[in-house]
Amino acid sequence: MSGHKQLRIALRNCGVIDPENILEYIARGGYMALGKILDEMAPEDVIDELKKSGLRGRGGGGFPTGLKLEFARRNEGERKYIICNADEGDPGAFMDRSILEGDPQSILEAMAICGYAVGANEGYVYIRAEYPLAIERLTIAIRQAYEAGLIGDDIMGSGFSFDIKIKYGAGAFVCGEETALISSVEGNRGEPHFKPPFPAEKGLWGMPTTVNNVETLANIPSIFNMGAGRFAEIGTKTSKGTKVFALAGNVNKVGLVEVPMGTTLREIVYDIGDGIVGGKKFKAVQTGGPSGGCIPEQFLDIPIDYESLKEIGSMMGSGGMIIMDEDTCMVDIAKYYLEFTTDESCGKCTPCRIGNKRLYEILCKITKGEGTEEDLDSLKELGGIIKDTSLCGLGQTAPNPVLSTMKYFYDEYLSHVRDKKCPAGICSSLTRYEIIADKCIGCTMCAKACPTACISGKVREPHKIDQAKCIKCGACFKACKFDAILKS
Amino acid sequence: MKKVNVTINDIKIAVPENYTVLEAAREIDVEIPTLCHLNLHDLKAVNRSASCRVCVVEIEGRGTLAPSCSTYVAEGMVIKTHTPRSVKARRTMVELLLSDHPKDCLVCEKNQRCELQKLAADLCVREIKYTGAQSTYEIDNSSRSIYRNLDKCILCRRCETMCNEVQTCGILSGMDRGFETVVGPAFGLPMIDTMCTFCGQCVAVCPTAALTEINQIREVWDAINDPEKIVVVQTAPAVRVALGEEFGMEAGTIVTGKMAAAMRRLGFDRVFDTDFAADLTIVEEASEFIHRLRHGGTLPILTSCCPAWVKFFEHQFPDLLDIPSTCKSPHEMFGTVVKTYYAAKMKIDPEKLVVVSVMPCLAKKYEAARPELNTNGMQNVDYVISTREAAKMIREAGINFVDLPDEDFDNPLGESTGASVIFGTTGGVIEAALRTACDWLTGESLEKVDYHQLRGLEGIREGTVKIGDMEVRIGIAHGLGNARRLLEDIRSGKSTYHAIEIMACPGGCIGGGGQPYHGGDEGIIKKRADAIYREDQGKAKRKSHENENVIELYRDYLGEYYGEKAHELLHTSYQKRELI
Amino acid sequence: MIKIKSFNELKELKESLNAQREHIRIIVGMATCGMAAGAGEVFDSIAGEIMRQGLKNVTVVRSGCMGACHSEPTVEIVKPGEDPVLYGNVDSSRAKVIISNHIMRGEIVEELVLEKNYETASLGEVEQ
Ligand SMILES: Cc1cc2nc3c(=O)[nH]c(=O)nc-3n(C[C@H](O)[C@H](O)[C@H](O)COP(=O)(O)O)c2cc1C
Ligand code: SF4
Ligand code: SF4
Ligand code: SF4
Ligand code: SF4
Ligand code: SF4
Ligand code: SF4
Repeated sequence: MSGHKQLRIALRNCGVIDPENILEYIARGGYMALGKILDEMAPEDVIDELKKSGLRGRGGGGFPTGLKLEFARRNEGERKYIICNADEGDPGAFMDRSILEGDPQSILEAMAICGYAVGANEGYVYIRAEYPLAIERLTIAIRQAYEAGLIGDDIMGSGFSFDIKIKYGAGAFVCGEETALISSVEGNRGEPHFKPPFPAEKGLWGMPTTVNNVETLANIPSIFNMGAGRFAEIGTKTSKGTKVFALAGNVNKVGLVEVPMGTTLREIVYDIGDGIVGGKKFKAVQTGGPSGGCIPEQFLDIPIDYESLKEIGSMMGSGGMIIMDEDTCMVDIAKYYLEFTTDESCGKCTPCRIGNKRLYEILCKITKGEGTEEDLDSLKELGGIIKDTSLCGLGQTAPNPVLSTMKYFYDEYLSHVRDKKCPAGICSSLTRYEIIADKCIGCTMCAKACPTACISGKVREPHKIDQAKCIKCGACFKACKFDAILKS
Repeated sequence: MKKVNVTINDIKIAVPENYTVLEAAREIDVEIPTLCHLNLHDLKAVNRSASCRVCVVEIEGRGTLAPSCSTYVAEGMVIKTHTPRSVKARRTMVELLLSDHPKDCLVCEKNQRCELQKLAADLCVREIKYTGAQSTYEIDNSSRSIYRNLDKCILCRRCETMCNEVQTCGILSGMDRGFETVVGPAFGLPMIDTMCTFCGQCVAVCPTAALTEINQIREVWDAINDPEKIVVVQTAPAVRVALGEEFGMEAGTIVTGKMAAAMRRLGFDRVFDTDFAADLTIVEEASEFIHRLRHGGTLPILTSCCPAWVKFFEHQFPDLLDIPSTCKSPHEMFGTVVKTYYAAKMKIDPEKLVVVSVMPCLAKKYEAARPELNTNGMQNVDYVISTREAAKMIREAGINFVDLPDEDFDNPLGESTGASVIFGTTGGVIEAALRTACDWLTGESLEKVDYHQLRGLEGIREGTVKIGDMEVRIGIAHGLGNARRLLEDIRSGKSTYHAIEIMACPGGCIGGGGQPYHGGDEGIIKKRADAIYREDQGKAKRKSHENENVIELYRDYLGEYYGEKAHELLHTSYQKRELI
Repeated sequence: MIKIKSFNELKELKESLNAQREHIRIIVGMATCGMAAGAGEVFDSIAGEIMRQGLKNVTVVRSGCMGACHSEPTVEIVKPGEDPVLYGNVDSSRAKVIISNHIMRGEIVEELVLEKNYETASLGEVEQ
């Protein structure tokens, strides 16, 4: 291995081949895994190999993929199904989209492999309708794969047949949850169901079904090409292989990165991401999307995998990674994520539908300076109960951003409720703008900028802000060239 | 069934492996509260949405609490049902529900009959812990049957399960997301503009006052108090075996006599019995059946006494409108007879007559206003109140129902036979019709009146009855989903039945949408059915055509069975309705 | 496209495809992010320029995301036998410079080069 921090397995063909030309995929070893499997491996061996590789679901849960296929194999059913989950609804995440746009054939090959392993002859790609380019390329890929006889009837003369169809998601975040997804494919309201029964027992149309994430699938052909043993050498004890992250936020080099499990956050933020924009101080990194948590500086050096992230109150999630600098208000961040999850909740169960709404309302109160210390206790208590009682993963994880920021940035919460101050100066109701008389030269720029005309003062004399009328828009702060306005 | 060993609250017990934790706990007399859960097992109405999260318990080895209503037992499972953690979570669920609830119990239709209210009391909720936004929706009182106040909806989804899975009407479903989630017809349409059959099964299972009946108590009091009006009341067969429940009496208590007494004390001028009209329906329907048999008419013949069922086939099977019997439903026949025959006989101006039906049914509220059911420009039945509304009036009037003496109905429209009583339960109408048809077809008075093969709660039942040398094949369905299956067989030509009885409500009218709330206990419905057959057994006359009042009516007024006058007054027509 | 009827046929196809690889490949990152940054125009201008210059041994490839969102549009030049070179923040005029300098004269346009900070696993080996 070279000194590079990144290792591309799932993204191996992205940016390398023409996704609209199946020959380029074949030239890079595409469909060799499927060919070999159909030629010389029994379905059980395929499952064993996947178990040996240690591959775990990249869609959030981290469930061992081999085991999941084994369950579906073992359960009886007239028909069985393989579903590729390409619903990718986390705000800011685009790992799956990139794979579908850059290497759609790898997904089709992997679905056929899974189909062979569990005894399924039909597959669906559930993709969000907001991904037109990915849909276009996937459609072309499916057509070409059918033409080449690499999916469809009697693949490569093996006697195994596998069909793949596309289903469009309506764009609701919760439709990415597997039981909701299945319900949506069946034409019903995309709403989660209590598990068990798991999809592997009773999934699509009541038949054994496996739902796999795009990135999970993208790894599968490589595992057979490089050997499960070699794959399992990459990563940590519990988490094998690599993980793709969509690096975003206040970091110099935002983008898609794929790193071996066990890479530290510091390596991602500083070596790959090239540090914080403008040389500011790092404050936290948010992983796991709206279900995740905020990780403070003290954990920058832990090797990240499914378990370590969970231990520190966050999670792997699907791979969103947002870097926050010192100017970020953690209460505001928690509020942002909770707003997302309350909007996207399917509304089925009480704790998520009403509980998360109440959490959100309490956070709004706090950011407006109307919060009390009892509110902080309520947040913690209610958040815990919501996690403990919600029906699906959305509700069970929705309080994470709140609870993790409370855990690591409690002082910030306290300033909001006790001192009615937002230390990062983000919560506008809690910010105060004042003109420092000594510095003000009376240029009148601030007064001209102020939309509510609440700055008074004569030319060349210090100005003054009427606090009662100020709406804390910050226009004067930006307009002043002499640093005479104090924001606090 | 294989048994598995579980430990619940330190008690070891073996239970069948298909038990839920909730069911297993009941075996050791531990009651875990539920709210969304509903299990009418024999009626195949099971709501397992696991959405309210009130029934959560601790299961060893699980990270989060588990809903006991939908978690199945497993070998070696260790369960704790009432730990501080689970009790607190449960109470929090109720507190959260209350935070988005109007809480105006004192003036609520469901006061003292509300499952949410009871739960709050049982869990000792003593403060409104959470506050915040409350959802508000427009009241939907567009129909004559169902009142929807979604501010009180707790999204248990029982109504949806009933409407979609049991009744296959598909009117109600979840819409929108998050805090704005609501259950209702597609596109937010008012109920009147949908294919809703007004069967009221959604109302029957709603735990709160989100779905209730359109209440007509006020109008009935006004009529009673109007000295110009002569107010006639009729009570349906199924009411007498359920009304007592509203006054704390055991389910299945027969309260026919007390009911007649109560009606009289409420101030109704004449207290009649729909059972009389049920006998009338039978002689007409049996005549129609024999007519179709003899003249090569369309078979099978379908019963038509359930208005929800009538509306269902008008929407869903408009191509089969010639199959159902054209007989009006019993209470409509009754209304007609009151405003024509009775008015003439007693020399009363029909305009002064007000007919009130006490029904187990919400569809009959809608039915009463169907324009083709008017006679001489008058609505046959002016007001329909449910069994529950009747009980409310009795309480309001300060009548001590339990201790009332038994009284008789008034004549001439008060006599009834055992055949009419069984109208109240599934299979009863067809059994009653057979009692008459058999006698008429064979020209004898047959001993056999009990058709046990046609009774029971199986969703679709069938039987063959030998009449002379003819084998008559009978089909029975209750619940509209079952009805749909029978109708589809007819449509595809697979059906070989001669006669079919269909009731929209699971169990028949004893399980109607206007009956006292069973609260998810289907034992109550079974007890009502038993009572119906007991009442039948106890009757001196058990065949409709032996009802003296009915015979007199034909002799004095209608003429022939299924004749011209009978057609004019006792039969109706159906119309195609849109699929929306 | 002919139907592949056996695993052997697939292997043969792969061999023959790789034997033909003597073209220079100009790969344009054209996933949603690249397209939003103007990769479509860059592709068109590269393709046009190749035509105008009459370069026969060059293939222009529409590809997926290369991961460098911070420097879209990105273009990679793969010359047989040489290390690939990745360029960032390419626009139409820069594309022309890359073609005339790098493709035609073999001079890498250093100021536009992005450091390629990953390795790729495939085909049974972890390749550089
Ligand atoms: C609210 C919610 C949203 C989810 N969204 C996605 C998604 O967009 N894509 C995805 O692959 N998995 C998503 N999941 C996880 C799926 O339920 C499921 O675990 C996953 O698709 C399984 O595939 P894997 O084992 O390959 O990860 C979501 C889960 C929850 C609870
Ligand atoms: S947790 Fe939220 S998203 Fe999941 S079922 Fe409950 S309400 Fe729906
Ligand atoms: S913050 Fe905005 S409103 Fe307040 S003084 Fe400055 S410009 Fe005016
Ligand atoms: S629905 Fe129940 S809890 Fe709600 S106001 Fe009525 S009685 Fe009270
Ligand atoms: S009354 Fe019957 S048909 Fe109408 S919504 Fe309720 S359950 Fe459905
Ligand atoms: S209307 Fe009633 S039955 Fe339907 S979901 Fe709401 S509370 Fe439940
Ligand atoms: S079965 Fe009886 S109660 Fe139910 S809708 Fe029909 S007539 Fe009414």
